[in-house]
Amino acid sequence: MITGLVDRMALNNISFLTYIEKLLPETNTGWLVVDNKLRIISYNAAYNQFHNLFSGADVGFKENLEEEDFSSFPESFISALKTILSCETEKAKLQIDYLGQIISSFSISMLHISSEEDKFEGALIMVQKKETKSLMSTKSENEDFFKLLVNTSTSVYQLTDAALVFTYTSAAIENILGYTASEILGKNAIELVHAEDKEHVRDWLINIRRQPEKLFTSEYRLKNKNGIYIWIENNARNMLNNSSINAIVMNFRNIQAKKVADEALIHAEQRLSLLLNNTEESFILLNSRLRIVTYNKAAQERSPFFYNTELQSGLSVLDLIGRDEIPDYISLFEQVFKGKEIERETTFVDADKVTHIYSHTFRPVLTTHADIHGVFITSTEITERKKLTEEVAIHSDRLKTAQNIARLGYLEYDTTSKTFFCSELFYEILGLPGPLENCGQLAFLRDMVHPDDKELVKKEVKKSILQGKDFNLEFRFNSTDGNTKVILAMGGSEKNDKGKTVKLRVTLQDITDSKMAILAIQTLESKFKSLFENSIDGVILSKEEGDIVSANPAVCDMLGYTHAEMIGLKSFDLLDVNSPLVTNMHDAQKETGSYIGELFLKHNKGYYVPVEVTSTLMKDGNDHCYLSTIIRDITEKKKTESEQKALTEELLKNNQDLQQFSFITSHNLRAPVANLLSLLSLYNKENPLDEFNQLLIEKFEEATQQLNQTLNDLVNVLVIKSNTNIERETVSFTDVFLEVKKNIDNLLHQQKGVIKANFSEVDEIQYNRIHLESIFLNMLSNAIRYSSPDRNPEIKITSYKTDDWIIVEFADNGLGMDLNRYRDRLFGLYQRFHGNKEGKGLGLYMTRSQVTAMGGKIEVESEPGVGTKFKIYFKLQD
Amino acid sequence: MAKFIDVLLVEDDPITIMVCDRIIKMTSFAEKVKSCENGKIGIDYLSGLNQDGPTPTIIFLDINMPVMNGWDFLEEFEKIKSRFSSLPRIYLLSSTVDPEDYKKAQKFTLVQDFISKPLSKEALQNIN
Repeated sequence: MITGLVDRMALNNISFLTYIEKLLPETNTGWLVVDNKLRIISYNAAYNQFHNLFSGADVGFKENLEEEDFSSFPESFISALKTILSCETEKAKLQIDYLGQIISSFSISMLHISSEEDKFEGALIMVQKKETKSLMSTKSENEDFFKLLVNTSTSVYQLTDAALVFTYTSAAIENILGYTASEILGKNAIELVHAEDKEHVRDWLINIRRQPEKLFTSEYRLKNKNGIYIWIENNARNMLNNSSINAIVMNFRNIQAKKVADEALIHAEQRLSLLLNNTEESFILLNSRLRIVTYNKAAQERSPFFYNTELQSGLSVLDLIGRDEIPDYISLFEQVFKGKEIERETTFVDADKVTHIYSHTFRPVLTTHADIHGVFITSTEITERKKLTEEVAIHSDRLKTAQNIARLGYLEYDTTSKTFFCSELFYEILGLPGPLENCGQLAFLRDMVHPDDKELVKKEVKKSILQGKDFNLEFRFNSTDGNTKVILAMGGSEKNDKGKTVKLRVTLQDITDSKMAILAIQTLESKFKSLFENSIDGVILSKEEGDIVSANPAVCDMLGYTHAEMIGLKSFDLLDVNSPLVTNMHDAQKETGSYIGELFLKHNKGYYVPVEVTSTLMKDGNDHCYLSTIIRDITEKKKTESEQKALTEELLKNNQDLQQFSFITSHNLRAPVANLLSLLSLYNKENPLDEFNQLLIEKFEEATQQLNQTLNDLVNVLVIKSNTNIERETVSFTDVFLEVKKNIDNLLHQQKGVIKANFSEVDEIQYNRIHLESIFLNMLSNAIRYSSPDRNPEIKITSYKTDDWIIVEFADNGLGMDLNRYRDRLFGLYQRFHGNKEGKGLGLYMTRSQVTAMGGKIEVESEPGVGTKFKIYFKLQD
Repeated sequence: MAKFIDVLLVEDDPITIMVCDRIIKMTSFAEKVKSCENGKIGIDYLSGLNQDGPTPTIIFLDINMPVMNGWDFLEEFEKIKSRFSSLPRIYLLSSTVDPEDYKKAQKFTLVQDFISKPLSKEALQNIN
């Protein structure tokens, strides 16, 4: 077994070509390789000898042979060579004889050789010397010499004299040592010997000289022409006493290759024995009869057969195993002897009841001739390994399951061996059809990374390998199915004791979907954000308990808070909790989850802002409740609404007034017309001189004037009513009063009335003088007209001022009125309240029209039989 | 032979009174026409009548009058009507075009009809 191992090692150490090259020079077969242009590729010494014999010259160091080099060769040789070189024939065999002093017969083989791979074409010529005969029978003493030459199978022949000085050296020496024969002649045999070998070579030579005719063999190193020592094996025989030879005959051959192999054997043996005695693995060598030849220390403890028995050379294994196991082992050994290698596990429970598991390998031991002559058993305890393997299996199973569940792909890169391990999911995630060739995989994967992400991936991976940094990166990957995937890769490197990164481990996850979703959400979010930030409507997001979580600029602006102040508030800080509107809102939210309606929100400055709110309860992903409220400021809307309402009311009132006015005017126009019609119908046309006709004419005139008066009155009213843009000027109440007093002085005098005017508080007003005079005239004439018959009229006029008004009071001691009955119609058109008086029911109507047209109002207090007080409010101008 | 014996005219306009009086007499609508210048005078007259004596069968009532208008008269008359063994039939006599007046008239059961001024022979013929 060991020899076999050594042989293999020797073969491995020396390449086949070198082996051939070393071997061939030692053979007796001469060979020459030439190409088809006779360029010399290779040849050996034997061929050179042959060549020299025929051509009289060495092949020497020629690069090229010429045809003339073969001119003295036999014709058969030349023609055969030509056919071979021209490739006419593949093979040629011939026999040629050399007829000289010595007759030699050579059998020649020629072979056409070609190698397409090397683009070589040429010939191999092999020469085998068959026999040598001396023609010089007279020189029979030489016969032994040549016999010896023939019989010695060494390459270099040498002769020395008794002083061990070379007298002859065959030309082959040049092939082995590089010296020419002439360079060797005259040199002492010890001269080129390696210093370390000199001593024993000297002893060897002395022995040769001492013992004639006896063959001595020695191995030693000779220095070649280049100064390198070559191992040779030299055989020498002292033939000094042979008169026909009279020399010491030596022949040596190159044993460099063998020597190298021997040294390797020695090293191997040393290493093996070192290994055998220090390894945990046990070895047992059995011979073909299954007896123990040898074993190592470890074998005693881990024998596959006998756990407690001491091993001993010469014991048969069959004696050491249980009887029941014998048939099994016999069949096992039968297999081994057929050349098979068998593995087997055994279990052994030791004294401490610990179970040990062993793995044994039974190998046949081969001889150099490939015969089996023994069994080599190696055993290893695999308890721990087995346990580990099982654990690893469990772990890797778990890991695989976890990876499958998590959809994680796994990549492991061994930086030393440059190999990959990739999980099945790895390929699936990347959308690759399946495992790729390890070679170039990295480059292939790198090419599939999205161009924009390549630099990033490269950088991170490099950083991880060089600096041992963990990485966590996202990149896009163009898988072979044409899709672009987003991959999340997390990885790190593993270092050895020396801090060198040995492994890179990476997990991959396809996050395309979530990435896309996130992207979509982000887009959506940014859209909503923009909506939120730029909305004219206010938006508040509050927690269920009321904490405001988010508020947009619009609402902060609306309620006069900064964003930070707003976030610190609770939603009910903004509400008037006592308001029924707020209660309504809470009820609606509780019931339906949403509310749409109007509310008042408290401004930072304390006042309330009318708003329209739309609130919705919603839940986030974590089941937290939020209230989203959209708020619109409706202050303007409210203002407009109330303005519209006031306007509508005013319009409605005006319309009613106008309608009433039209009813009244039409009534008052119809009345005189009706009278006229009646009077006409009563007129006696047949007898115009009818006495009654005269009366009718009088009445007719009266009625016509009545109609005219009515029309004039109406025109006056219409002028007041339609003229809203009345010019104002600074008017003095005193002036106006004095002017009006002139017109009523007569009447006042007749009634013996007194007017007491007091304008000390306010005397000037921005007003229309004509209107003011008309008002004063109406007021005063009414007071005098409806004076009490029981007393002289006494009228008081007083002016004063409040914040908004200038007020003028007209108080009399006249008839007075029952306001419960008349208040409604007091200022009505054509309303009269006193019988037998000349009032037309127009005065107060006109007065009120004049006052209201300038933004004022009239109030009245009265008691029948006591008097009446009119208060006229003139609106102060801004 | 007149259609009715006693007619009361509550009307403030003298021309209307004269015209009505003339027509009533011409058409022999009533033997006797009493006129009052306003509602107050009308109520006072009616209150002063002997309960067993003759009472007006027909009253022509103007609406727009000073002191006490037609509506005031109707309200006051409601208060005293129990005194009368036979109630007079009241006809509103007006130039009004206000629909409110027509509605208001319906509230008073004593109001028989609304007669637009001027009072005509045809209108009188329709009262029986």
